[in-house]
Amino acid sequence: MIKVDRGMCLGCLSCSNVCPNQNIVRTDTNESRTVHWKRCKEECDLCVEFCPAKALTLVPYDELVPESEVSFELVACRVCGSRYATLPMLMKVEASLPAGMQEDASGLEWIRICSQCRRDIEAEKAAGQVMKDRKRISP
Amino acid sequence: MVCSTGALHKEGDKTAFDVDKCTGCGLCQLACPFGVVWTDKIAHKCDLCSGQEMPTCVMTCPANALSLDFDLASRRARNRAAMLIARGGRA
Repeated sequence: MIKVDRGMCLGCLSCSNVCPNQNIVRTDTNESRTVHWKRCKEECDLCVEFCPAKALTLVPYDELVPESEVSFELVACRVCGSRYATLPMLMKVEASLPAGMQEDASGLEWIRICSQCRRDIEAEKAAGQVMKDRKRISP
Repeated sequence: MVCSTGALHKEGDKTAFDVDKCTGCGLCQLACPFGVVWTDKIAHKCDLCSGQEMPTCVMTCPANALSLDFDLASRRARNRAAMLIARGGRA
């Protein structure tokens, strides 16, 4: 069975995706994500191998140990307010990127904005630039 | 830089995607400043129609606005600025 280091788990989608037996159950609501590890008897360690945070270990089966569960509140997008990621996931991304990349030219902390809003902002910026150029060129 | 399995990797200039290695963890989606990578069981991103001579969007764009020449956009912007200056305007 699988032991979880609760302090290291990011609350990402990796382990529940790679488990071949649906022993890791992820439940997303609008506000939170819960990952639940069933007490599995498999000697399979795919989830251990693919955990990006190295938060999982394979330990001998013990029916006295309670099943593990970790819950995360989802972080709200600073633009639209939709909840899009767990805080440890965002902190992992922030730790992987150089500080200079974490803000765009206008000082926007884009990591704290959801993908949809990032795309909208990018599109608006590009369209704004083209429209400005067209106005300048045409009399 | 956040992909822990090497599913997303560099092939020359472009970021290539090895679908067999993806676990769908979702970190790449959060690391994309432009919001063009998304995760639905596995990660998805434009592969420039890998295997085709030309991406389909480039082939079908009626205004020829899309191309595989990544410097073209900045060259066009410079040309527009140069034209403007030649007419006595300010860039």
